[in-house]
Amino acid sequence: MAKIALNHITKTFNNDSIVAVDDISLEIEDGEFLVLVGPSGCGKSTTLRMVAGLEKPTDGDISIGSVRVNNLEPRERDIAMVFQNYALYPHMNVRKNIGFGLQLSTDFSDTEIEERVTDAAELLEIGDLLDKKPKSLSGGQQQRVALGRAIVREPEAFLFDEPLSNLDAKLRKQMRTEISRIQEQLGVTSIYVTHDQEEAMTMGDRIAVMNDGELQQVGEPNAVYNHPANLFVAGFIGSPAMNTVEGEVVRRDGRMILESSDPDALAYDLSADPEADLSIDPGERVTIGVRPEDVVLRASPSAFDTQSHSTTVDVVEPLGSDNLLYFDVGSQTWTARVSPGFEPDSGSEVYFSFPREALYVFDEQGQTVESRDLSHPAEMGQVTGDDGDSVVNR
Amino acid sequence: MSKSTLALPKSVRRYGPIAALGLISVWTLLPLVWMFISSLKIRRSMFEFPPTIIFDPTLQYYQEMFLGSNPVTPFLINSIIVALGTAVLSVGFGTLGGYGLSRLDLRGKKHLAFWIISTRMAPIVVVVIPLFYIYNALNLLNTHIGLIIAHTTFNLPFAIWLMQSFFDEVPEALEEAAMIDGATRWQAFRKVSLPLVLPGMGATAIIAIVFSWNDFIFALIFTSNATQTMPVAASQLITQTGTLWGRVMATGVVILLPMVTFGIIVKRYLVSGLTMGAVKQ
Repeated sequence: MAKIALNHITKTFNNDSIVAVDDISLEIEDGEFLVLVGPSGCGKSTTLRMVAGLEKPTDGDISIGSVRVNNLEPRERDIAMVFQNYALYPHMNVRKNIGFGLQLSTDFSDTEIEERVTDAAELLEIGDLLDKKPKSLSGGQQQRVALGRAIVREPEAFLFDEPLSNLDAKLRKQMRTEISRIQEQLGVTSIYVTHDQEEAMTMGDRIAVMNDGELQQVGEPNAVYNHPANLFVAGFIGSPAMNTVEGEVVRRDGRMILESSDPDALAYDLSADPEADLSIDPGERVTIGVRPEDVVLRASPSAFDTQSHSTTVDVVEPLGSDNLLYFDVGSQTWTARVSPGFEPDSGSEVYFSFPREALYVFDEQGQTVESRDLSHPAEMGQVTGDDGDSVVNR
Repeated sequence: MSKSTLALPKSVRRYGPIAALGLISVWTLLPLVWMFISSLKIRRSMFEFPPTIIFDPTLQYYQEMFLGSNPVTPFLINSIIVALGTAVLSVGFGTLGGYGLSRLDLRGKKHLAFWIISTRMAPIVVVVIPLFYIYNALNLLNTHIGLIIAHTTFNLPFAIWLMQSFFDEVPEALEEAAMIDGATRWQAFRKVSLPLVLPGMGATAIIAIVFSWNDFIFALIFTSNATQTMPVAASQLITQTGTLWGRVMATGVVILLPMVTFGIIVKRYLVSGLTMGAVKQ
């Protein structure tokens, strides 16, 4: 097991015309499970491949443990990798697939290899598949074999390159848990690449969000979710995505107001909160954001003891456990996660608001100025009115 | 519009393809059958019209061919040596070249590949005379190796192209997985990629062997008695005093037979080789 460190890593292709990875520095602690997440083409796979030794960094250093590995071949780095398409050797049976690495990189005897292969297979519950060829296995089984091939070598680090994206939704969730379990059990330092923010949230000890080759934010999943560093992270982490609308800070009659570009859509009076000291000056352009679960929806404005805004229901998506309600705020479509009992008709008028603590504000460059405040959790999304005909979320 | 109005009658749909295939088979096989039957007939009945189907078969020509004063056995051996030599060289270099073309991230790779295949586009007769002079200078005339080189020259571009397409079908991730598993690049090639393109190597070998086995012009120009191959030997049965039809037919059968046998044996590989990658796994 070892710590992995990336020090100002840059990777360009085509004589610097394409910058795939732009000056990334990142440390993965011994035994940590780090998820690299970002949209496709953001450079996360390239970063992983550089750690694996399949690509050479244009600039910067990579070390595994205390060794600088820049010039080491993949086989000299003592790592194991699970590929998106599993990359099982089609001409070898499961036993040989799993044992191949041991055969090449160790001087174990055949019986010792056999023993280790069997142990790994038992751990993954594929003991009865050892004599089958990959072609005759289901996607989930192939995935397990690929995992087996990685864990049998007891490497310094596991590298996962979107290993679950070829599986169906149910299996994906199951394997997600399984990979987490195995990683925890073995305590091997792991880097896991995915474009699925839900996977990132549920699996990572920490997650590193990338976009356009640049590292946006690194942190524990909840910290990244609650306090995104910028607008990109805010929109990428969380499903449904954070609601946003562009606007500006206005001072009117001595009050601070966040007003959307279309002033009829949203004008959030900040001065209701005496501590409202946004580090943003009046007149500056901002983006206002609210998580769907923080939006409070009511059938009538009288249900709010604070400000509310009128809107029209677009679509209601019942999920069973709760409903997703879509409505327009200016030119944007917002989403609210509400309890399943609240199911207004499409086109009907409703009123929305959100607690001051739930507010996100991003400056013109997209950097976070204010993120939601969890220090008063009791106030979050609370029912404040006594209006019998309306229901709010949570 | 319903489906049935567009469709052909069921009987046509069912038997049409069979009839068409049958026609093609007859077209292809009839001359061969004719050749085989004729090789068993005495000269007089060979030219009877209508041809006799039931006759007293004779192995006279085969006997003459192998046990007569001028046996074909040495020519047969020459043919085998040259064909196998060509196959080994073509498949060997074709595999290496194809692997390189497939895996190398090279600027202008397409142009290089096209240049390689373009060398195959010139007709053989164009290169025969210059090659003759070169061979003469290098003392390669009338040698097995000379003929093998000539055949390989013409087979290699095709072999490289074929092998490249087979390697293209082997995902690079497999080699990467092997290299992470502890393999060197060479080991990844030999233990992972190479076994996967075996059908392709088989298909390439067949094409090389068939080309070499059937080649007439190179063999005619570059060889004399000691290294003559079967097609040239067969052509010499057409003499100034007449054509030895019986032996021509029997020689034809002997030339054909190994190829047919070989074809049947490797059919499985040929089919799987030429259709490999047709379906995404």
